[in-house]
Amino acid sequence: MKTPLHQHINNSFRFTGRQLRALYQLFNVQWQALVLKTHPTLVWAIRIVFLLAAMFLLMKTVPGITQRTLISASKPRFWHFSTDTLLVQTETERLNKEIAANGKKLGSYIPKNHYLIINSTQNTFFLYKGTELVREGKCSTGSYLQLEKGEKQKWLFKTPKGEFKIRNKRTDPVWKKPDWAFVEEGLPVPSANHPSRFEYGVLGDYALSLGDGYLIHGTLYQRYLGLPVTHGCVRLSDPDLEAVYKALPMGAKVYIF
Amino acid sequence: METNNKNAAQSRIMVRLMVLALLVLVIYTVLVVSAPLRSLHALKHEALTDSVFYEHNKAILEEQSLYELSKTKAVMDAQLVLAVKDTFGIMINLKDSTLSLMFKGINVHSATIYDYRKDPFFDAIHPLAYVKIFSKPLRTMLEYSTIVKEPIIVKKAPKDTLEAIQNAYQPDTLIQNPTYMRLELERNFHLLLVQKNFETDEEKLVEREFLRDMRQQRRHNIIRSFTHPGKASYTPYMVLYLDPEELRSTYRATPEDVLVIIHY
Repeated sequence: MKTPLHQHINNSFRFTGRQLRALYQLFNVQWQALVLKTHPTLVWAIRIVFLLAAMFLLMKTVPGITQRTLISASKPRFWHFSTDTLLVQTETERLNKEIAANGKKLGSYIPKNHYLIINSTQNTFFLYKGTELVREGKCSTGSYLQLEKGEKQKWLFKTPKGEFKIRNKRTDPVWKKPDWAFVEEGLPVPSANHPSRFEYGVLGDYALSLGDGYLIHGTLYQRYLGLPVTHGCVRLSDPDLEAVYKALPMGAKVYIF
Repeated sequence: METNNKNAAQSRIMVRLMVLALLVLVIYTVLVVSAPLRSLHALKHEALTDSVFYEHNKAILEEQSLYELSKTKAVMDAQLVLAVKDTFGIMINLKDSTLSLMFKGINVHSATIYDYRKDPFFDAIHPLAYVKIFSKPLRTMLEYSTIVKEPIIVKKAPKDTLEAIQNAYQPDTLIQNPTYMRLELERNFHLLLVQKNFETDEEKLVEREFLRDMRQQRRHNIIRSFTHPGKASYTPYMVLYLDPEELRSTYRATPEDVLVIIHY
């Protein structure tokens, strides 16, 4: 008769009675006899240490193995194909219908036209049309720098996260410098419409407004693209800015994360 | 004679100690083993006692193909729930090894899961319990990470233009800490998001922290099973290995109580 493989393996690890007795003598009798004469308390200490070590080993392995085995044993199994074919067919149809309906609902959330996704951690952008990726590249977003002037005046240069819409589109934009731009440079803050507030050509050829003063615009510092260096706006390279400007109509969605 | 008596007494003590140790081991094993089984039973019980849910879904117990279809429907149901929330959510799909960042029904970013370790507990969940649990996003109860949500650098305004030029700072992307994050989800499911490899010394320190965290969790569970023997205290975990950059993006985009969809 052929012995099953697992039994064969188990048998090969079993000790015979004689081997066990020899082991017992070796670990129990002989060393005890040696040590007992001189240090009886040491024998007890060794016994306790052995017992604790065995306990520790067993507690570390036995419950874990038993736990895993029992969890695996309680894994749901489908042993047979159902005999109720009509029920299976009806349920399959119902589920497929519900899946299709869910798919349709989920699809309705994706904008049909162009939209922009900006990753403010990796400083990258992705221009999509529906589910198709049209263009991707580097951008620059907020530096997370908090500028403080005294106790009261604080500005945090971060790009907001969430869903936005293109609210305004401009060509040849002029930058009206806010107060922080002067504070950051160590200059006195001028009056609201002072000529020193207006800078020409620094925002590139196009600007798209996301609201609250946040823009998608170009930059003179192309080498910083891919780094978080802005005051909250999104900077793009000239070719990317042009493509984005042309693709995104007013009201197009922009997702920033 | 006296020596023989002494030896016999010692042997008796030793046997008693061993019996006591065996008893402790048995109790401990029972407690450790029963915790996940009780948790699994509780989940199953919850699904089976919801009569409306049971009647609507009981057919999935008939055949595996129906269960698989129900799983697909469950993940879509969860996505629809997440789509109406004005917040970023995470979708973990172990079937195609992706972690997606979702916002209002749109998959704004997908990252590859290079490897994962899933507690066998997840595979042992009753089919009806699976559908009930994973057909909606799971809320994060506690979040821990080795990186900060907002890497704010505070800078005092310069007094003049000369000081402004001297005030240089390093952008955040150049300071990159090793990434490890733990999300403790509702139903005591733990999600560990770890960067795919730890190479530098600093990264190895974080890896050690991660491993220590896992061990601590296990110890905590065991102690809890001793102190609260009646309560199911098992913590099933899922470890996902991702690119550190992707982990940072995900962590910084999501709120602290991020909703998580799991599909496997």
